[in-house]
Amino acid sequence: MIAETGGQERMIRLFELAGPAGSEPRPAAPNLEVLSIDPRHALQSELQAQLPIGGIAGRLVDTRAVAAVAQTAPALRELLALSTIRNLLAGHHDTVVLDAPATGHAIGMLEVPRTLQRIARVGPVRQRAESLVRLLEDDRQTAVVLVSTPEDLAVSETLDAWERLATTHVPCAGTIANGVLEPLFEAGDEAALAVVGDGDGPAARAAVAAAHARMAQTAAERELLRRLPSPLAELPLIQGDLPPGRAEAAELAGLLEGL
Amino acid sequence: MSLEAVLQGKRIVVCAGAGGVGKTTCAAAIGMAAAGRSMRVLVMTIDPARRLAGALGLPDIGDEPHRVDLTGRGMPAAGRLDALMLDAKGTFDRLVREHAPTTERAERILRNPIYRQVSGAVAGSQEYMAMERLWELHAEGGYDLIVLDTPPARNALDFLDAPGRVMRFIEGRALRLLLRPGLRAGRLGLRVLGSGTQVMMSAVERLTGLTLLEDVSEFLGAFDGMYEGFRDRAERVGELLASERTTFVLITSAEPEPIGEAEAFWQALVEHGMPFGGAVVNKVHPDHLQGRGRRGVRSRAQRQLVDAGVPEAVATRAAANLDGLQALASRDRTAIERLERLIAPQPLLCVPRLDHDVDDLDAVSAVSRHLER
Repeated sequence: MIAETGGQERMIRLFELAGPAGSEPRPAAPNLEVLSIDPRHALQSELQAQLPIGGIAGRLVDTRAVAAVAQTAPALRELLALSTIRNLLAGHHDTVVLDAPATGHAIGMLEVPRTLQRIARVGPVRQRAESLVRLLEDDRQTAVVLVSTPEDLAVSETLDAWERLATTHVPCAGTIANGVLEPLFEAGDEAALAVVGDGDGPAARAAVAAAHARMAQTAAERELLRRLPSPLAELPLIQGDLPPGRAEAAELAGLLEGL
Repeated sequence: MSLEAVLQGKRIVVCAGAGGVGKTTCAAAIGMAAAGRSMRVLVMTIDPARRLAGALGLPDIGDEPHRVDLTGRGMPAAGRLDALMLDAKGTFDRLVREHAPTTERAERILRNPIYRQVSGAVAGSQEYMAMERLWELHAEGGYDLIVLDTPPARNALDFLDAPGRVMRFIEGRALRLLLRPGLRAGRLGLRVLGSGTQVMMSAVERLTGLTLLEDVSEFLGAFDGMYEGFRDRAERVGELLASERTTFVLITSAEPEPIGEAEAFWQALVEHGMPFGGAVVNKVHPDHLQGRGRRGVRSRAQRQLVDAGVPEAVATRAAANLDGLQALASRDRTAIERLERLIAPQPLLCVPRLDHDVDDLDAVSAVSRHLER
């Protein structure tokens, strides 16, 4: 299961799944489903499981009032998202890949069970928080993977996230650099191209300028990637005319498989 | 020339667009260009990742304006560039203290868990507080121009509706519904909802271990009577943003996805009657052929390189690289032309992908020079 939070439904678009958006799991490929975790829907399922009055919970969760609570109750959104993941694992899913929100929010989310554990000393909340803490902090069950691109801001943010994660007890497996320019030129190519001068053809001069641009960018990227801690993999830049889709995901999956 | 047209007569520039397109760097570059016209400029960012700090080479940057050191960059003596990173919670707290009738009441609100959630994380409070801080600084009048760098948004409405969403929350119509189940006992529907809601609320409390009902009622009680002040203020901010002193500038890269979002953003701005100044397309792939056609360029480059004395294998690589980069350049050009037609007669400014991707003051300065071309 690939689960995403925040209701952006990027996975639905990436896997080119037709039909209306919703918060039901959807088959995307053999053995693979995608799910967009909607806090309102998760709250509804929780309440249906808890309340004796069954159907009424469904109607209640549709009201604006309850939507406001789902939005506001401190940590409720995060708790519901994490609980949804735990339930998926308790059901028939072997692995859940969580496409977490942007770094700051993601780490905040991972800290929620510990915070609740501190607040609630006894009772069902305590039990739930404890079971989530056990799941999240067990390095045989959970790993955080930080994904960066070879850009200055992205690398800086990844470094910040790395440091902040170290203060939690959630195990971090390492970083993946995505969208890296593949090396094309070899040592000595720059010198070999230096013979081209003003008297040569325009396409040759353009090719030299383009080669210099590529070499400069490759060098800048290498410099940035050196700053990434615990690198797990580098994935190449795949350029297409369309937003990332199923074909690109399949290609990257193949590359990860080969590592 | 074109940037001149965008800035003409404006006091506020709102930079909007998707994430990852270099929005903060462009906002800072617009600020630097304005400072180059002898203006006193403030660049404000909302991003929690301290991006502006990075882009402007500031080691530490607080809720207060911080002077950017522009020595040696050929700035006119009167030109000045300040930067500020918004502290959304701090601004909200200040606003509460200002509007609360007593210090005691203000403290009660600031301690309330619901308030803390709203001021920190409720969708829209960052944007709302950015507008508040913008209004404060605009009203103080210390600047000729304020450039606001907004958080990345999928659509313009997220930004424009932010004050409305937060105001509706504080007003608490939805929350009040939870608290007064028997309020309209004559209407059966509401009563059923009310009692069911209480059952549900206690279930939520069991779920989170929090005293939700108590917190909500305290939150609403504490804000009682303050709503009007907040609303008046939000209305004035809204008027300022829609006025002719303000202009929205779209920042995008030439990638298909951000360009698509920029088009949708433009649509929303127009529909809302917001003042639109133009677009900046950042990270454009340079056209090494300077407009000459791409057809057959790979074999042409290969031949010409070999003729010039470049070894065959190197020529093959260089020709393939040129072809690949030109493909990107031509894709960019198509997207740019489409956006340009859409937003005409407002200008579209292009900034090429810079060789070194380090977001320091030099990069800001380089982008700024391209905006001036």
